[in-house]
Amino acid sequence: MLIRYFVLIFAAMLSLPAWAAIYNVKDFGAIGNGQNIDSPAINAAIEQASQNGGGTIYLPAGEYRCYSIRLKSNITLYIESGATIVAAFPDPEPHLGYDSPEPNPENTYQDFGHSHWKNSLLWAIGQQNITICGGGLIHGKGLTREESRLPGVGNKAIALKECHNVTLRDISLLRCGHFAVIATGVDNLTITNVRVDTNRDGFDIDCCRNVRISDCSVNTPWDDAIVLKSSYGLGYIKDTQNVTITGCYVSGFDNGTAYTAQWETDEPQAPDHGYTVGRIKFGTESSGGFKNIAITNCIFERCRGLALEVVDGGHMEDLVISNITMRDIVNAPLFLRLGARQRSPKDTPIGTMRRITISNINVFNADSRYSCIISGIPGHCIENVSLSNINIYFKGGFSLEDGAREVPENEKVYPEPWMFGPIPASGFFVRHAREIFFDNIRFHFAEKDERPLFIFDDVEKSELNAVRINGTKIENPLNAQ
Amino acid sequence: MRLFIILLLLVLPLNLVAQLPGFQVFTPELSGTLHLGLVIGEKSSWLNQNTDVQIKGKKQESTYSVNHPLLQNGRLTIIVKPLLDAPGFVLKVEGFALPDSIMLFWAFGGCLGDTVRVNKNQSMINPEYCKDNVFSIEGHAFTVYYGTSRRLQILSALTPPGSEICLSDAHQQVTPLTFFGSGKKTDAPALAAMVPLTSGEPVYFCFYKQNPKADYNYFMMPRLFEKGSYEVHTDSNWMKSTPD
Repeated sequence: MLIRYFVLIFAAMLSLPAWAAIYNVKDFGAIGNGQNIDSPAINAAIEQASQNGGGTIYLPAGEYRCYSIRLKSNITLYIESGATIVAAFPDPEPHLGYDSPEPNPENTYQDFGHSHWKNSLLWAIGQQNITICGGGLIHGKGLTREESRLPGVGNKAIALKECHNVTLRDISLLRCGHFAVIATGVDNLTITNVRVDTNRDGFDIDCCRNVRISDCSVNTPWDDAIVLKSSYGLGYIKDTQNVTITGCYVSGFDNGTAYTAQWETDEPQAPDHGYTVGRIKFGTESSGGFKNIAITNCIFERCRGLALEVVDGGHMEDLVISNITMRDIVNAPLFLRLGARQRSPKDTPIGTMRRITISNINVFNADSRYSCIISGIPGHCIENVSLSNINIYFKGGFSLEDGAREVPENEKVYPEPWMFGPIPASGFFVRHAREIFFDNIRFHFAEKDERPLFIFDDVEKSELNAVRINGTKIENPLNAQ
Repeated sequence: MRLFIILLLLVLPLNLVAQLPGFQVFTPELSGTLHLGLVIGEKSSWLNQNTDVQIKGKKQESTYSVNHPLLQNGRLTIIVKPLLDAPGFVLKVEGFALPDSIMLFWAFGGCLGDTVRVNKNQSMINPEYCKDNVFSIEGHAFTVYYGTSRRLQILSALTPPGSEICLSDAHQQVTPLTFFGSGKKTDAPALAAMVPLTSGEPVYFCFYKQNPKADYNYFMMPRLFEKGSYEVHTDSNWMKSTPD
């Protein structure tokens, strides 16, 4: 009997380290009643775990009102199913609010939201081995998507700078202010099985290397869903490279109605008045480059099309985009733009775009105003793009006169398809481009469209093969309507 | 008498237009109509219905003393002042001898972004002006985006704590309560909310074009109302964002 007793004690002692590595926030004073401010307790748990070499911060079911939560190395934040971290509104009277944005002398080259990280609900700078997981929710209720710079205001749900080995898994993010997730200079980042329904950007992956984004649903009717950027926010150039985005769904249903599976469509307009956004995009910040990136098996719905933009001097090269299906697209299904906004340090040369493969793209019910656009600027061509197995159902409905319109260059203008006005081509408008290869391109028009099918302007060494309109093969696509 | 004040904040001094017939703003930079009402239980009425209003105008300030059947023996004082650091105004509503459970109702919408086409004699929110107004609601503050992609205009607003701010249908403005329950399935979106009123405890509204000198939170309202200014930032730490 005595021996059995000692064996039990010994076994319990062996298992103590495992128990000790889990830090229940309620043991640190969190209440989780939706009233108390629980971020001090959660931060105390993180601090304790960090001092002990790391561990899991456990949030059991409950509603935890919080200001800034400071993530540290070797921490797993486990938000249990039924647990919600709610971003509280700042309360300036007792000086309660989010951490102040840290100084950034380079904040003139990108927006305020991209230039600071601490003014966020969850943030980490210079940390490693961080995981946020569990079936719970991060609700950014008290975060702003707008421009207030008042002390205590927070504008991002998860902000990470110069971290590595970070995983976001199985969580949901709702109404998160400027960004649901902004990762700047983060290497070895994995985002998987994350649901986002937010009022501005979803995932912004900026200056990151080796990123896996998979099996995520991102509803962002008012801004971009999954965005790769390459800003100057770090104060130095770092390319975004070696990224895969696969098995993701991006959309533009009414705010909050994807998360509740109501899928409402009562609000067609976005704040920028270009209709719902919700797309996958590269840019606009593009001081650095985008290299070696694959996007596969993704779905777009009720949103803008795929946008690849280099306008600040970076280099975009070696992209593969395949197996994409889109429905109800409110502007150009494909928009490739090399421009010269040059919001970068002085004398940064104009960027490049080359070696881009786009294949197996299916689009249904696309707005026809802007057709598809591939446009560089005079003296700076987009190079070596292949487009194959593209099947687009456009709305059509434009006249012969619409096909005669001159398209302004607008080299420095903020890139959106509307920067050119309605496009005089019904299929593709291609300008300042070289080695653009089209193969097996099929168009359908719900209403007759009298504009030229293709317009090539300052285009070299390019080919069109197997082009069809409504199933009929077109012998000379450059003369077709 | 109808309570309907036109605020030409950039064009004319406030007191010169206080006699003209809600609170409608239509300057080159500001737009929209703030329409006030009262709610008690199941009864509701707009303040421009069955209201006795006394108006006093003085330089940079207009005062409205409001009697209304739903106020019973009580009254409201509404004072409007322009802001010094931005196009915009701050409005104080204070009640006296108010009945229990009285609520101030407010509606806002109809931002056209085109001063030429505005009907300056309409007291209700004009549904025609509401199309493509996009409202970003954050607690008791909101930002409205109007105009066009190439000429986008943005107006910021702070409102008193109360009910959640709801998207509503500007085609349904018969009474405040019908408007409040009208929902967002409309081509004429506008906003509505209710605010509990207590005698002697003022509430504030502020509509403004945000800039480095004009970045406000509701707690600032009493001082902003008194001084017309509440500056927190300096120009150097503010850079205008793009749609990035």
